[in-house]
Amino acid sequence: MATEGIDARPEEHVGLEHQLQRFEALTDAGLAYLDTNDLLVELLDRLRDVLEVDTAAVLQMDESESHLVATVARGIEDEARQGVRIPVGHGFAGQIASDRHPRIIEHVDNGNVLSPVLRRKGISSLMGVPLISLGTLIGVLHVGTFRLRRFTDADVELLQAVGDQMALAIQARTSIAERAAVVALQRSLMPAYLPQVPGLSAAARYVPAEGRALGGDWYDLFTLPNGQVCVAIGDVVGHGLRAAVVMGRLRSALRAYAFDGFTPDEVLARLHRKLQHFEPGEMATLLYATFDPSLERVALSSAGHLPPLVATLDGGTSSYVDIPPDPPLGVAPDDLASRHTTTIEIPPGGVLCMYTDGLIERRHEPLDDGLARLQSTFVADDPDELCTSLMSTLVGSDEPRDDIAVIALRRDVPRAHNAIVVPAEPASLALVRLAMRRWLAGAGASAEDTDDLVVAVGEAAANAVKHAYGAQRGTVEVHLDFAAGEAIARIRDTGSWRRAREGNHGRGILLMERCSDDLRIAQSAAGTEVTLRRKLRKGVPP
Amino acid sequence: MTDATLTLETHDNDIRIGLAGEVDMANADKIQQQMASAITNDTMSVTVDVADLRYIDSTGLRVLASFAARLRSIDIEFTLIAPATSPAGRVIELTGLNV
Repeated sequence: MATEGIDARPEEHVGLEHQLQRFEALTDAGLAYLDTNDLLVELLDRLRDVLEVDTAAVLQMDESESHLVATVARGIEDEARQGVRIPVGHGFAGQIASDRHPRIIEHVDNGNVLSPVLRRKGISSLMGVPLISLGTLIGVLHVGTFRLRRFTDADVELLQAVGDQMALAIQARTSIAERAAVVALQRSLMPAYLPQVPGLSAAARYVPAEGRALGGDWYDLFTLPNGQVCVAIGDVVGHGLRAAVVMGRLRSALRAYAFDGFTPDEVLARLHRKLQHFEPGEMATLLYATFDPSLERVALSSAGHLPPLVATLDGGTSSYVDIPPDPPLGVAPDDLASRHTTTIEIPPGGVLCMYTDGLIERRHEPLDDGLARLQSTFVADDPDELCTSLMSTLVGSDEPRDDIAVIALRRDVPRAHNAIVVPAEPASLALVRLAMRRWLAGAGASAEDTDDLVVAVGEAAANAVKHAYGAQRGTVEVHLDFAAGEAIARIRDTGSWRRAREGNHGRGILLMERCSDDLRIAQSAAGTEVTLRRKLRKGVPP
Repeated sequence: MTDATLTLETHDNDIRIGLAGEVDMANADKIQQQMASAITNDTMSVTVDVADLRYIDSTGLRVLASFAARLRSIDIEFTLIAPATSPAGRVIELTGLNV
């Protein structure tokens, strides 16, 4: 082939240094506030002017790092619109990506260019450079001409200079976008507020690490339909968007397994298998605990997590829960059978505290020192005040080098008077029974006293739901007082009971009578109040 | 929300229904329907096991009683398993329910 018809710009026409300076000045001043896409469009257009080429395109490495994807293209817009994908190592752009060297093709043909868009458009000559930022290849920049063109070393230098600026800009904007995404994701993953659980007070703190590291710590507190209260705290190894995404998936899966009624060890075993299959290579520690509906007992299972602390009112001392740490999630081979659940009792006023390693770890200090410091700081206090004192004593004004998550839960001390107001709907009855069981458990009532009082109050509340309001809406109040070894329950509505219809009304009254020592039903225009008294055989009511 | 689970075992024409969780006004109708839909035209006997029920109220007892009466009226043998120590057994004992 003769060289006729090939464009080679005369030397005097180039003035490369001058053009480059002008280009850089424009890049710095005018483009700082553009988002990534607008910035690339602007740079590609200026590049087309300065280099006198017809097409310019940026391909970015995809997440798998096996393909380049056309993201912005000028002159050959279809390339980006169709999301052309080029395997790394193949074709023109693919080879630039694998060699990390500029490349020039003077005669495009089927053998050296893979992109169908480039070939169909009739591109004759191509020049491309790798986009490298901080040693990482993030994509390829190339320009092309419809007429045959002989690109010079000076052209390559100019393209590479622009490519380096693009790479920095893409990387910086990606980091900012990723950081914003992580913060948004983490906000959405931590409970916006802790659920109100009758009989339990809870407080939590989450502080992300300073600087570069946004991590995979999280906590969660939720209730199940059967009255169980579930608490989880975890730490996904690693930082950034990836760790936050893994954390989000673990959190959802944990809730789903818990909802299906699995015990703590079963939940963790399933999470482990799920993590290994869907996120191979990821690892997390996790501590998961469930309070039974009466809140008297807590069942715990640990996947390589630091042990929880319990403090009780008597003596005010705290101790670590002796719990065998099973392997972290995602590392060991499948261990469906080998995890453990440990059950402990939490007395009224007792506090359970779960945390991540950021709370206690200090540089150049044995872990045991951190554990001892936490234990000496921890007392049976109001959870919110406890969290405040833990953070101020253990973290202080140091910039945390790792994420810190803490959650503390206290079983309420028994009270002489307890009350709950619920909508007069069938769905409220389970809640009334749950509240009754918690109050009675807190007062140390025997199982028989508890079951009978729950039945009697359940019937009275059911009567109010069924008979008090007709088609209207209303509420039912349930009060439980402890006085002189006696439990006094009052169930109040503001409606007027209608006659029973299905023939079990008599059976309901019979149950109320038989399950209490004394039953009074006072009906007036203001409503109905049922009072049930029962001597407690056991327990020390407050 | 009141939560109960119902398990079914069928041996030839004998059906065993296991109830666990809680039964009250909120879910009694649903339980009644689930139990009724388990019965086929060939059913000879039905056993309802309430040993694992944590709570049952008078509405739940009515469902059990009317289910038993309905089955007997169509010549299906009905057996209720409710140990005296179980919460359901206690309520049945207190009301003198005879099913």
